[in-house]
Amino acid sequence: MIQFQEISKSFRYNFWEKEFKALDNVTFSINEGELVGFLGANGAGKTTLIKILMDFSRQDSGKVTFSKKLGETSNQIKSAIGYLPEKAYLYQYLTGREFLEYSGSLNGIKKGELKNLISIWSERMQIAYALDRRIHGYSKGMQQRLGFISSLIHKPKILILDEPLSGLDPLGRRDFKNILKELNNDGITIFFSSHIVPDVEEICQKVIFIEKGKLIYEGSIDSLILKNSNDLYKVNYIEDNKIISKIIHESEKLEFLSKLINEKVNVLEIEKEKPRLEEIIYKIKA
Amino acid sequence: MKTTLVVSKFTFIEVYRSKVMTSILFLALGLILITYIASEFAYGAPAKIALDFGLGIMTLSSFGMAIFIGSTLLTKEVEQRTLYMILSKPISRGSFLIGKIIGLSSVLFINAIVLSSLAAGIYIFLGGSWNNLIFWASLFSFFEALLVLIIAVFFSLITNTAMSVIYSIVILVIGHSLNETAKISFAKMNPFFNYVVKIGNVVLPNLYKLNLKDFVIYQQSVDTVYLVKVLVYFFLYTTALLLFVLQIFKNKNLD
Ligand SMILES: Nc1ncnc2c1ncn2[C@@H]1O[C@H](COP(=O)(O)OP(=O)(O)O)[C@@H](O)[C@H]1O
Ligand SMILES: [Mg+2]
Repeated sequence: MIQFQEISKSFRYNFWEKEFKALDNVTFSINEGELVGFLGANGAGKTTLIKILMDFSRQDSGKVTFSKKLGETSNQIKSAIGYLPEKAYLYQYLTGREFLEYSGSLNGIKKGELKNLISIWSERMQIAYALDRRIHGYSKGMQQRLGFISSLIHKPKILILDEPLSGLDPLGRRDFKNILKELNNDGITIFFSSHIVPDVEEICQKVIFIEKGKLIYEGSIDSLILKNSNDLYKVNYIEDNKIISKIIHESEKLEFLSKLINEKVNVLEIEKEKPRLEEIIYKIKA
Repeated sequence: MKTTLVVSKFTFIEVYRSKVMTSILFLALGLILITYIASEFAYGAPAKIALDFGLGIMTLSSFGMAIFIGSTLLTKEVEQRTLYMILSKPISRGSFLIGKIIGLSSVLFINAIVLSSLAAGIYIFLGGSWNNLIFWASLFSFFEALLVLIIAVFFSLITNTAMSVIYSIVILVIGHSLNETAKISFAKMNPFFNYVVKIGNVVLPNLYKLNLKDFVIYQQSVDTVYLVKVLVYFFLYTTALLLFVLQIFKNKNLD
């Protein structure tokens, strides 16, 4: 759906200082139907790339291509995209409802339908009780919920979310993750950035990982994990009324198991030892 | 076009509830107080003094607001990320900026109406008689403030907020004195200086012409042809500047 080709971007703080490369030759693509996690530490360049994607800032070199499915003109493409910036503060003097009416009418949604959508989504995002208060009094998490509604109220084909989970309490994070999964199951492509690895690991099939402006990995999380796992198995069984846990290598697995079975030992569990995505990513970095 | 109006509508609601409106209220109170004091101390014609003061306060406060609003318009939106949110919707950068300017200029309009009505009210209360020129002077003062707003937006696009405030004030001062400078004999004698002033007259806004206050206070009448000429000048200059500003905004890196 969206292709990034060799995107580079530098910032210059003072004209006598050397340029700082925020993005260095980044190439990857987001395909239809995917739920893609965009991982990277703070300052890795995620927001910079998303701003280039949204045409807010301009890259020094490289190209962003949108598939014809999203539209041909700039306005058609924008209608097909739902976007949430990081740390959005919204319009403090508007009420939540007014803000949603504002963004909804820019998306060309008719009045009656908009009213309907606002009430459905504000219930769903548990913000309905505060809709007629000014945003000024909203907490960070409430603003995040409101901003999220505004990004998807027009039923976009693709969602571009910059750190959508930050600023939320644990319950809110779970809500958001569930909704992201649901939307993705309904066919909406999702691309969201995060610096928290377990969040991405939990809900995404695909991950894009950048570090200091460079693309480190693009692809399925499962295959990354399998590639980095070390052929060890954990076997849990009962011996003398105690649960014993033993780590064995692939090569001795069959022998060990048949021994246990022969001795009629109660085997509880056998599981391949898989590293967490987080550990792998630390390893790649090092 | 429709999206432009949506932007101006919500910009208006937002600014209507902000502190800017409260400050207009305070200005109004201050205006009543000051004009009262000034006319008490004035020898001769207290009504005229009151009108002079009232229109003066209205004009100055409009400038102040225009510069403040214009210089912070985009920085505030970028800081709050609202600009990104709105621009991600199917609206062009140009339509967004025009919508913002229309929405914000409503504040200048309200300020002009409230303060000039007050000034005129006090003037008539003190024995002055109504003159249509009071209306024209207020309207032109609003136009002038609108132009200053766009100038401030222009500078905020190419520098930062603080510099934009300073540059706008500088332009405001020059714009008011250019007309007089051209008349100084030194300027007429010195060909180089004369040339500079002529260029200045084309590039910089001739704000002096928009200021009808002196006509109101001293002459009580003005030539209609003059008014029309000034209006045409204002519209041409503002349109040209606006197109220029839109072009810059369209190509600006918003990072
Ligand atoms: N407008 C800007 N001016 C200068 N430097 C910037 C700007 N935006 C981002 N950077 C720098 O680019 C790097 C990447 O930033 P960012 O894309 O915000 O990272 P992330 O979103 O992954 O945390 C950081 O070092 C940041 O300081
Ligand atoms: Mg970021």
